[in-house]
Amino acid sequence: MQTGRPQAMTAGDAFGAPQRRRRIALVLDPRFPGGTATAVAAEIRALSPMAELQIIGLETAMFRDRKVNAALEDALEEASLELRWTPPVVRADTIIFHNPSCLKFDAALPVRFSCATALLVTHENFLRPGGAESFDVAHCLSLIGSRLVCRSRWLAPVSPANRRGVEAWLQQGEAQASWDLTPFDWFNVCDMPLGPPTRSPRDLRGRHSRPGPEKFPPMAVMLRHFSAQAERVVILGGDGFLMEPDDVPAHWDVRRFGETDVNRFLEEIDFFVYFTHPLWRESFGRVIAEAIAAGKMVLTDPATAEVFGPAVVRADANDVDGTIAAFIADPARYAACVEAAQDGLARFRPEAFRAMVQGGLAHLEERSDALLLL
Amino acid sequence: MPFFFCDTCGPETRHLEDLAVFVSQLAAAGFPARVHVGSVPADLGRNLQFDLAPYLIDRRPAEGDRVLLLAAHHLTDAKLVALRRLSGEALRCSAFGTFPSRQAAIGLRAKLSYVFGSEPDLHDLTEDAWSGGSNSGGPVFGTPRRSEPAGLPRLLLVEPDLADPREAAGVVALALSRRLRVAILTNGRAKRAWQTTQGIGVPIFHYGEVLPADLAERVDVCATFTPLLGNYRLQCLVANLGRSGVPLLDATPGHALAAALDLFVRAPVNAATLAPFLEAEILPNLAGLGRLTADSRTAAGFAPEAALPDVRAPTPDAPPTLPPNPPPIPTPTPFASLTFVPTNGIGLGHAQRCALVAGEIRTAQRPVFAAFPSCTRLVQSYGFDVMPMISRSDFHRQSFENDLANYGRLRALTAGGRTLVFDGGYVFDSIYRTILENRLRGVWIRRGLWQTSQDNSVALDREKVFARVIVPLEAFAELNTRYSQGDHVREVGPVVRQATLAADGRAALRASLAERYGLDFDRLVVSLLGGGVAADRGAQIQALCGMMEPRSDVLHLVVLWPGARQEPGWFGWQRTRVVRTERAGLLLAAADLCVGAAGYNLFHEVLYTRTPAIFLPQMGPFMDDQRARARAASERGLASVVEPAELMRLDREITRYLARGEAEAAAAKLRRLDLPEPGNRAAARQIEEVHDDDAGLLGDDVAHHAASRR
Repeated sequence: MQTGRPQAMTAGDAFGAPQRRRRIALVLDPRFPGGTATAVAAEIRALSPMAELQIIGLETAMFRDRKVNAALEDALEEASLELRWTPPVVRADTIIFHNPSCLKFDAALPVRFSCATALLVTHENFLRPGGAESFDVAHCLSLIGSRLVCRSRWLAPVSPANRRGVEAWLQQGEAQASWDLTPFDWFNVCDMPLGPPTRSPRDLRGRHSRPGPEKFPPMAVMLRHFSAQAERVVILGGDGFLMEPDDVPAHWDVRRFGETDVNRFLEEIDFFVYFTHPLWRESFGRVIAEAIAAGKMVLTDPATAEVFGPAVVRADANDVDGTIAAFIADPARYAACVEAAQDGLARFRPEAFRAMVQGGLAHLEERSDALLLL
Repeated sequence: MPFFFCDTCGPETRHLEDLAVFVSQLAAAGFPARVHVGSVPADLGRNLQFDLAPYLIDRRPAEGDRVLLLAAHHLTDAKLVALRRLSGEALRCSAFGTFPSRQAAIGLRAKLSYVFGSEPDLHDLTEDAWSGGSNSGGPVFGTPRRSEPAGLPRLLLVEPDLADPREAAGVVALALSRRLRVAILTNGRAKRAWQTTQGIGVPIFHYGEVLPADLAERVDVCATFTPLLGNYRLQCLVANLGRSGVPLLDATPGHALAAALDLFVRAPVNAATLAPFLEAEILPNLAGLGRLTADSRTAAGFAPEAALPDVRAPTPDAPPTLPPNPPPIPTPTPFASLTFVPTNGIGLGHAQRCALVAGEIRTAQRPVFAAFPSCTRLVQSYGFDVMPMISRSDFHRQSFENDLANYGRLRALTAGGRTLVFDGGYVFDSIYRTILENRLRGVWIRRGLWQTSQDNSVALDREKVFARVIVPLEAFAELNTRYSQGDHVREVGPVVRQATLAADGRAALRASLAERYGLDFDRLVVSLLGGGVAADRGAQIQALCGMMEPRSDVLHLVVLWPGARQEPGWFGWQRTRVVRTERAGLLLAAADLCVGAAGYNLFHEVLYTRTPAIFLPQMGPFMDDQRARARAASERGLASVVEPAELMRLDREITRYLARGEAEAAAAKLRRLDLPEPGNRAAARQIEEVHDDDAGLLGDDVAHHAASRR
């Protein structure tokens, strides 16, 4: 990777050490219920052929008494890896901390970390739309920073929008100065099999998310997104609506988070209508990638759609009915649009991810080595 | 009109109590505070229901409204859902709570923003000297009171150790002082224990029965024996007193309050030694100490604009702004300057007594009435306007459900008014609270002769909010008992309707009755057993009709109030006629014999019209002792007493009176009877004195003087 600096030797070359596979430690709380765990599971599958992986589990207060995510367990089994819970020390060439927000309720971190390069993958946006902090970022970063001995430390965004938030946060104060921003995005690996789009779309709408209030727009907007015009409405992860069932329209089929297998849910719909609360935003939007891969038309807001390119339909609360009606009237356009979106997912395939990791980490090491050899 | 929708995230009853205090404090400061009905659980205690009732609203917040959230650190998913259901659109929200970490505040801010559609203003009360950490109820602020200090300073003792005999003795000794008047504020358990051993000699409030803004109007010096941490109600009381310039004494061990807050003055830590300190140090310097209190830094911090920095009262056409300092208290145009409220009781006695007294009132504005449906026609017949109140019903979910609605009505009727006159045995919450909240001068017309088995402790406890108690005496001295004493208790002669007929007038009336009913008679018998909502005396009336039928010289009139229930069996008798009239007194004056219950009004009407009578006393659990009253007349040979079930005996007594000369004998004794002067006018003068006094009588409304101070 060209950086404009003279080509530098790696530290290993400099001290005559033998060449070996890169040792990478993935550090996370494996009990994340949603996209983070699924993304890391895909990452384990993608990285295990190219690196010596360690998977380190943190027992954070955020997920106390929760079970390890099933998708992660499957990925560990496939890769013949064991999860190591809170070892006293973690040593690796590169340590990847996934979603540091899981430390937001902890006062201390019992693990020490030693590595050449440390990356914090910022799965959760640092700032919400409007500029308010999503979590106590400085606290989480300082917990890790105080236990970390390394040559260089980086914040690795997962998408362009996520990057903009991290950049804005970095500009806010001096406490953030010890972390640099990677020049590349540590995107989610999307290794889902692609399903063909239907050739006769119907007004079958649905959405899937964790049940948190941030995942849903106001009720008035939900009613417009899932109007009585729809032939069918399935809301998976609508636990909050079930707490006040009297307010739920009769034509909505509301299901709890995890009540239906996601692939089976996606088979029930033709249009994935996904809007979050306007004061919160997905950092990547893995649920959208899953819907695209399953051959579904996705309608979402322009900012969330940005990650997936132009084939994801930008909409707002008022034009969902009209947009869907237009696609139903033109099945060929529906299919073409879905297939275009699926083509766009190729950017997030495992091979693309491996290339990003190899090139990206080499670049980061190169930069830090260059500093050592100055 | 835009409102402040107030709510709490706290899961416990105490959080709702804090909410009630917060809302009342906002209202006192001039803010349009409301609580959505969906935020209030159905199973609240009575006091809390009354606290919240005036502020309930059933519309959802809309644009321009604002949400104020207490105990926000207790926010749960269930509460989030409830709040989300409440807020249909983007709303401004101010959330108060204690946030132990930056993350706690950030997380709460995010959650609330998803509910309300805009970023909330968070107020962390952790550093608040009042909060005591996570136990905080809400922001502490106060409003200067509206009334002036009383002539005789009123001392409020907050939570003295009443369980300690020495301390209790000290409080009693303080209460005997002629230099001040003493009231106690404590918890419910301590109050019950105190009244069990000490009676009602010293006015005592428990926290739940009076809101801080109302209590602050009745205090000129306050000594607290307890810390304020964790007691939002007490903190707000102190804030109101501080801003009102009421000297505050720190009587806690170690004087931690005075060390932390510059508006407290160190004082002896027990009631026994407080008296000389007050005499020497406080009472002579009351005004100066008050100024120091009001000017203190702490008192300045109690201003709403200091404690609620981003809260501005919304107005219809302007962005919300804080009212000027001090906030203007809107004074409604008084619809009712002087309001009479008779309870319905068993009969119509309370309403009639009030109407008789009101008829003698000479105030500039004619009194108005609030009365139950059974009494409205009677009151209207005396020429007064009546606001209807709601009676108890078995269809109501709670026994006091009607009183909640009556509270709202009375509160509205008397807003801006001056005096409320209540006649009844049990002081309803609606009466008690309306007097307190509308700063009214309360007058209690309290007829005596309670049954010895009755527990009237609640009613007597509430005497503390009345400026005056008027006791209409019984005609016979042995029937009069003093239930409370003090300068505020004034006895007047029997309040009685006086229908006197001269001999020729009496003869003319009897002749017209004979003509009207087509019956010649020598004996006129009037039975008055079925007024208002009286107990069922249908069987007795039916029996009377039968007893009179063979007596060819008798006209028997069954006299009923209009609207009273009547039975078909009373009609069709030769010697009986049913009369529905509001003027029974005249018929009584023309009668030779009355058969009736021994309620206060009829009993005294019988005496004052000198009419022989046979009394069938009604004895219900919450009624006066009619049997004792009837016996007093019987023992003097003025009347006879027959138990309602003794129909054979009633027949014999009627024969004795009508055929064996007892009616004439009793009439002769009645003519010679020396009766006290009726108290109608004297009662009216007492009310006028309270109502017309412009010299600060309002300050005397807890003038519950100790027994020895008369």
